Parts: sequence; C-alpha cells; structure tokens
Amino acid sequence: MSNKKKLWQIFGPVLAAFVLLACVFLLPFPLTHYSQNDLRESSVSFSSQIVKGEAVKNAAFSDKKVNYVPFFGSSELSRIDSLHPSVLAEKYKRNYQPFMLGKAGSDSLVHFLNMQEMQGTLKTKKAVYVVSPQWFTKTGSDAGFNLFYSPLQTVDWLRNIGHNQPSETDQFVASQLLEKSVVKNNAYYHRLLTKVSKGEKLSTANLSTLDIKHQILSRQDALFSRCESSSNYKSRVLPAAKSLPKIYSKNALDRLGYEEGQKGTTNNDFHIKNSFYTTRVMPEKKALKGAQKDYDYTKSVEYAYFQSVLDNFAKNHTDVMFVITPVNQRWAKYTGLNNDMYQESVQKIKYQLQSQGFNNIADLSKDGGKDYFMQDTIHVGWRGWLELDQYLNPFLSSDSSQTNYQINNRFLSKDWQNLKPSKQSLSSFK
Amino acid sequence: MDVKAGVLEIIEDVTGEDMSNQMDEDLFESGLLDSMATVEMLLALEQRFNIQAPVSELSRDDWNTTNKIVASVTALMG
Amino acid sequence: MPNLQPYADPNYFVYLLLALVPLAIGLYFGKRFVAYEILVSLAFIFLIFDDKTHAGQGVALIVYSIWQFLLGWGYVRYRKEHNQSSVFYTVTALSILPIFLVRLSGAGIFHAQLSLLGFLGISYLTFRSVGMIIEVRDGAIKDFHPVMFLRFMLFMPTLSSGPIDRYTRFAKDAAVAPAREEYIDLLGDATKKLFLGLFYKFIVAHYAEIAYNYFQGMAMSDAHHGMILSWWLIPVAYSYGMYLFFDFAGYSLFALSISYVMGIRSPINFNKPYASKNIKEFWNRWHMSLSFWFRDFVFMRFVFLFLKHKWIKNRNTVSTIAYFVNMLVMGFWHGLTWYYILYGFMHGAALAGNDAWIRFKRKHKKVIPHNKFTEGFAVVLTFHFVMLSFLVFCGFLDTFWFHR
Repeated sequence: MSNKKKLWQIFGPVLAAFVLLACVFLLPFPLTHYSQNDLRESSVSFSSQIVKGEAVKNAAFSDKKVNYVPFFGSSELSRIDSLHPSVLAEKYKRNYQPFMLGKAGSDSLVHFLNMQEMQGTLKTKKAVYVVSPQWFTKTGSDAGFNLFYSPLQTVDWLRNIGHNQPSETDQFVASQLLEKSVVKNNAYYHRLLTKVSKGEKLSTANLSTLDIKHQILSRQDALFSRCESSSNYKSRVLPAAKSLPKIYSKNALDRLGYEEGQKGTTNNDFHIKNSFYTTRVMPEKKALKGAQKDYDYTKSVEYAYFQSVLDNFAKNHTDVMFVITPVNQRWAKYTGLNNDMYQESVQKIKYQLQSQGFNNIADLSKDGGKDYFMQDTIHVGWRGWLELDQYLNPFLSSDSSQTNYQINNRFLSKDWQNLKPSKQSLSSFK
Repeated sequence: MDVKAGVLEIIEDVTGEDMSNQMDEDLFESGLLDSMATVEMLLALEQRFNIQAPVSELSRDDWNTTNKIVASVTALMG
Repeated sequence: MPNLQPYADPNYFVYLLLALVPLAIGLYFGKRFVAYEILVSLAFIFLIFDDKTHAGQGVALIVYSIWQFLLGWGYVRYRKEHNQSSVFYTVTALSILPIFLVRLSGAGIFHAQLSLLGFLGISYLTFRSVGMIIEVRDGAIKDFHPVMFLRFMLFMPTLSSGPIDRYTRFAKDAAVAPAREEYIDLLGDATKKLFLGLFYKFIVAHYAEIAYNYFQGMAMSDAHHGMILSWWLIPVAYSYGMYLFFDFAGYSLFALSISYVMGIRSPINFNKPYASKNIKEFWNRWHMSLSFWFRDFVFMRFVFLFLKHKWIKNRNTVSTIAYFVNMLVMGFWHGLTWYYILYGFMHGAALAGNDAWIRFKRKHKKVIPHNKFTEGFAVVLTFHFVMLSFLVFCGFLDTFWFHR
C-alpha cells in the first residue's frame, strides 16, 4: 500500500468525524423537544444544568399551556413538603406554576448570569427572588460559582450588551468574573471580559465570533441538558398535593402544617426535620455549638452582586417580589448566631431594595422562632411556606403592574459593600 | 570454555528445562524465567564467565531466548 | 497567557497537536527538528505553571532540573575513573532527596515549607533521574550528553504522570528520525490511542467518577456513630476501581499518542489488567512502566545483592522479603499515609502468597485440577482482591473512619 493511501486510512475517518460533528453543531434543525411532563419535572429538579443552559428555560417560559414563573433562590427551594409553593399551585389550580432555579450555592452572581439567558422572559413575566442573608459572607461563595457557571451564560450576556457601551454593572461583573479561574484560564473570554471591564465597546468582529460561539454552545446545551432526569414532581409534589383539603383555607392548612411539623421533628429539640438532623447536624453537633457567633452578614461583596441583579430587573422592567428568609431561632441560639447582626443585614438589604423602588418584599426574617415555620436550620418549611403564600398568591395571581425603579450605581461600590448598617448610616447613604 | 554449553547448563539448573532443542523459545513469555530466576541465572553467568551482569538494565529483548543469551554473554566477555 | 493543564480539556489537544505539526512533517521527511521539539516541550511546560497558583511549582521544577543535572553530570564524570558503592548510594540518595522531603512535609512530619519543593510530575521525574544514575553505575550509560539529558528529563508528553521511560531506550529513539514506513505506522497507532483515550477518560471515567462520588456520599450519610463498615463501601471500591483504570489508562493513552507523534515510542502502561489470572500477572499488566521500573531497579537489585553475598540462603525467603520491600517502597512513593503503606503491604503479601501457592501447586500437580474453570475463578478472585486493595488505596476509608 502506498504511503499516501495509508495516511488517508489513518486521517480520513478523523476528518469524517469532524465533518459529522460540524453538521450536528451548525446545521439549523431542532434537536430537542420537551414534553409537558419534562417541563413539569424540570420545574422542581433544582438542577444546576438548567441554570447553566438556556434550552430548558426557553422551553418552559415560552410554554403556552402552563404559566411558569421563575423562582430564583438557593437551597430553600428544594424543601418540598405539603405547603411548598409548587404543591399549593398544583393543588389549588393557580394561574401560575413556580419554576425553581437554583439550589445550594446559587447566589446573586450565579443568578445574574442565569438571567442573561432569559432576558425575554424577564420582560414579560413576573418573578420571585428569594434572598438568603447567608449569601452575604465577606467574600461571597466561590464553590457555588463553578457548579453553576457555563460559558454560554457569558456569551449570552455579552450578546445582550451588544454594541452598547457596557454599563457600570457590566463593568463590575466583568471585573469579578476575571477573578474566577474558569474564566481567567480561557484566553478568549479573558480578552473580551477585560474589554468590558474597562468599559470599552465590543467590536462587530467580537460580536460575530460570539454568534458562532452561541450557535455551538446552545447546541451543546440542547443536546446535553436533557441527560439529567428527575421525578420530584411525580414522587413528591403530586402525593403532597393529594393529601391537602379540597378547598383552600388558611386556618385548616396552618393546622395541617403544625401537625406535620410536629410529626416530622421528633428526634431533637430544635424543631429540625428528623432526617436532616440525623445526617447533617448530629455528626457534628458538638463542633457546631457556638460556632457561628462571629458570623457577619453585614459587610459583603454579595451586596454588589445583588445590585447587579437589581439592575438587570430594572433594565427589563420585571415585576418582581423579593423574599427575605429567616433562620431557625432555636438553632441560632445553639450556634451563637448574632440576631442583631442578622436583622442589621436584613435592614441593609431592604434599604437597597426600597430606596431604588423595589417595594414588593416578603420579609419573613423575624418569623424564625415560630413553631414549625422552619423545616430545618435555615430553611423555611410547613407554616413558613404557608405564610409566604399569603404574599405570593395575591402577587402572582394578579396582573403585572407598571414598575418604577431608579437604579443607583453607588450600591456597586466598596463603600456600600463595607458599610456597617445602622438607621443613620443607611439613611445618609446616597 | 564453550559458552553455549555453559549457558544451557545454567538455564537447566535454574528452570529445570533442557533448552538445547529450543534455542529460540521465549523464556519470559513461556514463564520459565521470572524475575527471581533471571537474577539467579545472571548470578550464575557472572560467576561462570567472569562478566558483569546488567541486572537493572537487562533489556529483555536481548535476553529472551537461549540463543540471544549466548550472544549477549559472548558480547559481554568482549 | 492561558493556563493549560496537561490533557485537561479538548482545547489542550487542539493547541498541542497544532504545535506539533511542523515536527511531524519533519519526521515524515526523515528530519528531527531537535531545537523545535525542545521549544514546544518548554512552551507547554511553561503553560502548566504560568499562573499565580502554579508559579511556585514552576520554580521548583527549574530548581529540581538543575539539581538532577548536576548530579547526573557529576556522577558520570566520577564513574569514568572510579566505582565506589558508597558514592553510588550517596548520589542516589541525593537524587531521591527532593521527593523524600516533599513526601515528609506532605505527611506533616517535616517543615510544611518543604512542600514548596514539590511540583506536578515530581514523582515521575524522580524515576527518570534515579533510573539514569543506576544505569551509569551499571555502565549502560558511559557519557553525559547535556542536551539529550534535558530532552529526556523534560520530555513533555509524559511529564505529569508517566509512562516512565528509560534513558537508554529514549536516547535511541530521540537520536534519529524513524523510517517513513515506521513513522506512518506510529501515526496510525497514535490516532487510535488518542481516540480510545478520549473515550476512556472523558466518557467512561467521567461517569465512573460520578458513581464513585455518589457512593461515597451514600456511605457517609449511612454512617453513624462507631460504625466500622457499611454496605456502601462495596460500590465505593468497584466504582473507584473503574474510575482509576479508565482515568489513568485514558491519560496514559494520550501521553503515548503524543509521544508517538513526536517519534518517541514511550513504553505502554496498561494491558487489560483486570483480566489477570494472578496478582503477579496483574502487576505485569497494570501501570506497567512503574511496576517494571520497580521490578528492575528495586526487586531484582535487592535479590541480586542478597543472593550474591549469600546473606540469606533460602531463595524463597529472599523473594518473599523482596516482594514486601518492593511493594512497600512503592507504597511510600505514593505518599506517607497509612492507606498507601497498607496497600503496599497487601500487594507484597499477595505476591508472596501467590508464589507460595504456585510452589505448592507444582508439588501436587496430580491432585490440583487446572482447567478453564479454575482459570476463570482465578481471574475473578484476582479482580476482587485488587478492588479490595483499591478501597484501601483510594483513601476513602480514612475519611470514613477518622474524618466524619
């Protein structure tokens, strides 16, 4: 056999494979179809894959049969019990169905990028944003970021900026992303984000390479985001809905929440759900005593991340409700978490919201001592979910109202991040 | 001294097989020589032919048959 | 500058293969561009260490290379005139010294700062340099070629985790360009290995790792006070065994593939290890370049020394001790933790036991059956023993028992 022929035999199949691959990624035929059941399951799968990608989000939020409303949040979203928002919406045939985005580790920076893939949705739909003061640690959480980040988010974000001058928020987020190893080590994104962080406009050439990237990455997303399957809706939401009374009555449901909470928290004095207590608390119980007495949520880079999210809501005129979560008071006493500090951080969050016109706030932060309001240490459950429903149902069931937000970019500054909140310091912050 | 006869004798000593009819049989692949037996063979060769055996640098491709061993030993004797 | 960890993601292959195109064209036409080869090697090593988190390691690698260069150069010069055992042992000890200090500090026994001497690949480079010194001692290497020495020490495809090559073998390949026919065959083999490696590492190992993490989680959540064993440890062991093989074999295939493109036939590392009929065969098929290195430089030298000086008469006793020494040294090389050492001990015992069984079997040839079924049984038994030893090796027991 001639050498040339041999070379063809070696590299021919490789070439053919690349051509095939190019076809899958570049040709414009649809790859995926999501059934009603797929979407329903996705709404309570809490998968990081959904936060990373755009295919499932696009399909859910443009669905014609069910009005899926995005719930941005973190670990609390997955506390499914009889009074969980998804269960109540299912049982009482609400005209909305929550679509949960996030799980443990997803904070505001994650959600800023997450939202870049669904800007259209934010323009037309209401949204719920669950803020946990636990996000507001000094340096923010890094571990979570890697779990939820995908280059597709960055590509979508840069395409949203387009030919415009990057806003202060864009510059801030770009400078933060440049610190993350997943972004830093990629020469391409490093170059583009450096540009954005300096406030320079993207060139037409930049944007056309972004279009190609988008084509490839969104294909990849559509191909692989269906790999993760979940059955939470079928196995947890539907059975829970079945056990509820036919007609909605706050008092009856409250009693039910009380009873279920009582039944579910028998192995400890903290009113923590039994299974959570045995697996997460008991092994380290001794070490946790007094462990949180120096925790401080009042100064954090997260305040600036949070501001980025607010800026994005304002840009899209999203009618959004914010939920501020409490901690289990019995537990906080044991770990030594400073309650005054907690309330100060809540005041700071609320000032940031209200001074910019975000007035839909469900502040549950003072309710962590009520019986069976919490499902475990920092997550609401049973009666807490029902209380939240008193805010959510009227808000989500009514028509959208005109928004009037006034964004103040000073909330991105180090001054704000490090401001010690007090009545005086807050009201004098401009 | 006849190298071939000496090598055959040593191999028979170490492996218990007379290889004079299968001079090209692969001694490692057939399992006749394992690391331990190889060392014993090398030691015996060292003493018999007054050579320095390359324990660690034993290139198994040059030592895997009786014929090759004879050749390698002859080369080492210079 | 981007930071590129070897074989970590698809982009790496694109960059590396593009950089190798001129070299490959040269080899195809019978020319080896040595300067270019060194340049590519250095550039890709630089890209491993060019960010803040890795820069210290880069410096350590440079210091390490100078150290080994001086030792090699000095010992070759010395060896031309003299051949004292004490000098040989001293030079060997000095060559091992860096990894020894790094391992000590890793185990918290010594100054933590000494871990600064460590870098990605130090354990594999140590084999290259120590092996070379032993070859000088044995007279297999007569002259010191500075350029060839550095090409060998810093050969990039196998820098981070092997396969472990030998200087004399490497130098034979690296001195010339292969014949065109041979090089085409090498390219064919390289392509096959690359794609098999991609399948192993990025698909099979990926899922095996997910399973491994899942089972670890299940074992941890199953654990309660004073618990010593959990059923979940069984899938932990098997999923880790699969993950380790497909991850490492996949990586080794990459390293070989790139070596071949560069016209260097680095030795293979895996040959269907889980189909071995006994533990000795397993070590002839598993991480072969490592186990052969240990066989030649530890086991055989040890046995040779003992038999030559007749310190112990009984050959079976000598080989039993040698097995334990061999596998324990390998355990220590992995790191100074109880589980690596226990792993070494288990394999030492298994090798010695295997030899004893074979001797027993030979004596009772007539009563002990040998057929397809006993062979199948042997494969199954060996596999399960290996998985048990990997449960120790993976270190999860340390977490499970002592760090809950």
